[in-house]
Amino acid sequence: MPLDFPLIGARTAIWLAAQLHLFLAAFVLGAPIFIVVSEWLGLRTKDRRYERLAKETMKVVAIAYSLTAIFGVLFAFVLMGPYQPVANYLFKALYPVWMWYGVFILLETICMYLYWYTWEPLNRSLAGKWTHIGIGVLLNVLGTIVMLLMNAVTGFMNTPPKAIETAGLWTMVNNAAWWPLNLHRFLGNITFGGFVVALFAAFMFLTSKKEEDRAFYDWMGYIGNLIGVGALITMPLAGYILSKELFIYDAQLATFMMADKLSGYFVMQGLLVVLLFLGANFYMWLSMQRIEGAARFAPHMKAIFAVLLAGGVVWVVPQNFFPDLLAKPPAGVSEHALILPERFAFLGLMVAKALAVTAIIIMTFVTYLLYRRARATGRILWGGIDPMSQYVLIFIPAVAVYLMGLMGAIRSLTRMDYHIYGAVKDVTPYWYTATLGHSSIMVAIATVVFFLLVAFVFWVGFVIGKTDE
Amino acid sequence: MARGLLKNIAALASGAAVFLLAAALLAWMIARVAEHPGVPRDAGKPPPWFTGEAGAVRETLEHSPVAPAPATGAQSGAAATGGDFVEVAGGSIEIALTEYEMKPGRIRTKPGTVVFVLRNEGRFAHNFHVEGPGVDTTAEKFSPGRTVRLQVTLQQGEYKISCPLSNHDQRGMHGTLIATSRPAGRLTADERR
Repeated sequence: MPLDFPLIGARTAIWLAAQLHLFLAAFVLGAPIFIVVSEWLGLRTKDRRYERLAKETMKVVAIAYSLTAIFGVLFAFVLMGPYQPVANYLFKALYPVWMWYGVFILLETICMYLYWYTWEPLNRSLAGKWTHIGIGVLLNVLGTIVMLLMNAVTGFMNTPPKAIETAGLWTMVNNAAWWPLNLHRFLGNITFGGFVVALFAAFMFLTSKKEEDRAFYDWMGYIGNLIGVGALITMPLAGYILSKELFIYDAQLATFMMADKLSGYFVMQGLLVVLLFLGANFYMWLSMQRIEGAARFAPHMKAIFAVLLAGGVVWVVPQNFFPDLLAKPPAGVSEHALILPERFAFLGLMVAKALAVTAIIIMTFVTYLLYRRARATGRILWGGIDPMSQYVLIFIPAVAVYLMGLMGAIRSLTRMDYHIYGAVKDVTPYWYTATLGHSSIMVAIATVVFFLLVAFVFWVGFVIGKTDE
Repeated sequence: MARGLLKNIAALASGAAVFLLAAALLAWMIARVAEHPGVPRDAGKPPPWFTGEAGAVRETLEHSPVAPAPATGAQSGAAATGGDFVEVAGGSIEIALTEYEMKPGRIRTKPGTVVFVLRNEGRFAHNFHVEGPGVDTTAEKFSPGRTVRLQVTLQQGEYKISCPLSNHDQRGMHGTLIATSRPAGRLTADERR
């Protein structure tokens, strides 16, 4: 190991830099997708709220874009210092990918600034508006290409071609994890973008003094949450596809993830996903209170939450309480005391988990259907929502950000003691698999810092100059 | 005027308090995960049964799973014979299944009807598959702590026994059973194959 990082160590440093870069990147890649859709909806429906949603979100994206680049550079610095051998290997093996990455980042940045700064000038005519939407579409295409290029590098580290010495560039790019990762991250970015928009709306709702603004941010929070939850429901399938590819690539990866060192992470994942769904459903029920005549649906809430909680309990029950396959019970404790009793063993099986998650998703649909029914028969009083709902809109992104960080840690830790699985060993003092406790704190740090950064972005973009408007 | 000033001061104080709280929380968490070898950690050493031995996982993945399990000799009516095969007189063959091995993993018995007595001594569900001359059968999947029985009729020859669940077989959960009426250590060329 050529260098180490003072005080906190190289792994902690690169973990934080990479994770924060990814959080911000997920937002600046995901949000523009529905910014453009929202702008188009505004043009089509003449509802000015869509235009305002698109523009205000784009302002947040424009500020967050610089932070993304800064953390990207910090990530690269740590990579070039303590992790120089693997950086060298990656640059050498995938040099054209890095070169094109630079080109597309440049094009994306130009397009992003063009999209943001031409908003007003191109808003004056219909042709101008369509041109602006066209720039937005191009921005998304370029952003997606950037994501595909970096996913190739990430996938290569997880699942490099077996005959790595003789593999060509395309074989290395088109590795086993590449497309599953592309799908997973594309959907994840939309989820993330939706939730951050909801977070922004909650922040603005709570700091707004005008009724009109509150009504708008109430609506915006609802839309952001809807997009986030809508994309979130597809994520388990995308995650399954990624895991399946890892399994096919090397079966021992699956055991390492699901039954060995990382199995506890998946129990934690279950808990977090359940919290997300509980939060999303709770928000919808609070939303229903602002619809005239919707009180008649309230009795159904208890039954729905009972199923959600029961599903959640089933999901988080582990098969056993061993942290890994090699762990032994403490002296004097029988091994069977740490294994689920026979009569409850079915709760630890995948089939029970699958049923639980299906029940949770169905109940979430039922909540949304009841909401739609209430909306069809009563008027929505935007802005009249219980302020508690806005704290739920802060809670949901907090859980989503944490979940994303933890899942990222799992993907990274499946490489075991390799930088590039099976090809480049991690010979640093930090080669070992982090415990769940360690990873949990690392992800918590990244989540808190991300929220501080986002609060800074909102404050700079919308609070400082507010009195002048 | 004074009320406005007080409100601003209160807002500033709350902002500063939140920031300081976040900073203190971050500092505490960073101290918990600091990994530099020169930095003393207050996290304390977790008990070995909790963490497992550092490096043990990798070593296991690289070396141990493919190695056949040593015969335990605990088999009733069984005795270690030439090589590392366990000789079982017939009737019932007891096999313990754990992650990821079968004990014993190399068995020699006489042709005829035998009953496999399969004990799951591991932490995950397992199954048992036996395949060879005239036999290709699988037991029912069974949970930790349970014992199941599987009756098969063996002909002369070599059989593969394995756990067909997930990738358990690939991880080393398999073995060999030879059905022969010859004395131990004298296998025909066909049986060796």
